[in-house]
Amino acid sequence: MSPWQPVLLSLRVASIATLFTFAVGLFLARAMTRKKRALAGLWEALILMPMVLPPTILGYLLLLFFGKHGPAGIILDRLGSPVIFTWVAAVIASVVVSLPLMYQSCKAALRGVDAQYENAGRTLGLGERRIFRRITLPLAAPGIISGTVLSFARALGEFGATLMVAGNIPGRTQTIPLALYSAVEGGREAEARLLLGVTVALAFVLVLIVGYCERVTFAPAVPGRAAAAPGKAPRGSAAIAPAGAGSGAKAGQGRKGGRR
Amino acid sequence: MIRARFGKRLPALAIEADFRVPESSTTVLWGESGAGKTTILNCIAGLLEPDSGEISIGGCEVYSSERGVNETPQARGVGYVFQQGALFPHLTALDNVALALRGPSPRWPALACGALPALAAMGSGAVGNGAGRAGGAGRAGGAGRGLAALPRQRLSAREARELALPWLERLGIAHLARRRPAALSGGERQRLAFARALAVEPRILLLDEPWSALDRRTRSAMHGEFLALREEFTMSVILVSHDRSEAELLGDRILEVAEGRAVEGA
Repeated sequence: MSPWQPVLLSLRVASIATLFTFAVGLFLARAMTRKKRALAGLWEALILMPMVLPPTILGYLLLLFFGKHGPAGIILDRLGSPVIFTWVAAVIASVVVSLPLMYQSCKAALRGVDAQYENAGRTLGLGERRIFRRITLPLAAPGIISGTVLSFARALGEFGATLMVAGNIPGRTQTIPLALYSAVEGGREAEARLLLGVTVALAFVLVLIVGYCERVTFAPAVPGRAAAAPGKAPRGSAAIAPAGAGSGAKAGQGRKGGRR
Repeated sequence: MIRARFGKRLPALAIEADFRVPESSTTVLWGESGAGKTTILNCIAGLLEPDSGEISIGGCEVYSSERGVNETPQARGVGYVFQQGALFPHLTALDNVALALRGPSPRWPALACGALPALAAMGSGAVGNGAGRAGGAGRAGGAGRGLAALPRQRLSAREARELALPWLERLGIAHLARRRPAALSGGERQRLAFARALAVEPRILLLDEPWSALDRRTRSAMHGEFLALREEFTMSVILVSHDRSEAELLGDRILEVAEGRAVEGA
């Protein structure tokens, strides 16, 4: 078996899990920040529980739920596609452990958007959905992206819950952390070092992305610098703006020196 | 014309408002910081809900605690210039206005409240039908031309930008169309805030200390520009200010707000 197989499997599991985490986390964060909800504290505690529960406990809970005699397991069994000890179970475990991270990041990012922008949108007659899509979401984007990256990293490193529900089947459910564990246990030094290197490299890139997201603000731009990048003018405005206006084309992205 | 009579209890202040703003006039809510001026404005705009009372705009009831009416800010047809501008920082100057023009049409279904004849009698140019819009565009000296022919919900981003540019021209900031707000000076930002508020052709205009962050010279220039704009845009205006000389210069009437009370003839 190729030593790269766990890497590919991990990337697949973490990517699919992140898609779900992103959608569900953002939806929940929006629902909880939009208005005061009854039992909000209770709901929130439920969403955040996986963050404080030991992964093996979480894995056992999932096993009870998706296992042969669990409520979801019985239905899936009847449909002819049980998930326990498949890579799908690894995805489920990853979603559950990374959802609190995504939720927390999204909630902080959405709360961080000054209400005056949304209010301005309202007085301009924009509907709530459009306000969310065109105003809130872009302004919260750096936080949401960094939350997504963190969730991906968390999914990539998931061990305990995955071991419980997906097992450690080489080539089928053996992700990087499980493969590393097995390699060290079995004394396969070379394989262990390869996995170590790949994981560290991946983690480094992810941390770089998070750091980059944190620096993105809508800080004042330096007009002179933007003139050098006319190709990056905002979409569609080139045809309308007067010739001299190019100086502000990249205004506001302010990535350089944006940290304040 | 605006009629406001409402109460709102805040943790530190009890707001009591009872006043009218006659058609086409500028009423200044003048008072110290923390007197509750902005809260009154937010209640009229629908951003805050009063505890009791009534508010009507152009003869249409937009809030009534008795009848359980509370129109959304979107349906009230107000133009609001916020103290800090509240310009969308991620959008260019042009897109700040263009986004506003991509809202639904007609903007204020509240106009279907049965007060249409009364409104028409008052000659308000900002009635939310095609003819009214054409009137609004006419007053803007060509700004927003063709608006009546294009239902807003179908405006593409490009069409909206084309309609937005004349508003920037009108406020003298067309050359800054592609800059984001952070790359504009304080005065330019407030001009953009005015362009954006006027572009949606509001029935009334609410101004929350729009020039308070500017230096004295820029501020007096902006006062001149405001008075010039006032020749063209004849809707009722409420201006919030803590500056007595500004209030006297720009207001047709001044209503003092003190400790949450803005009561006419008190």
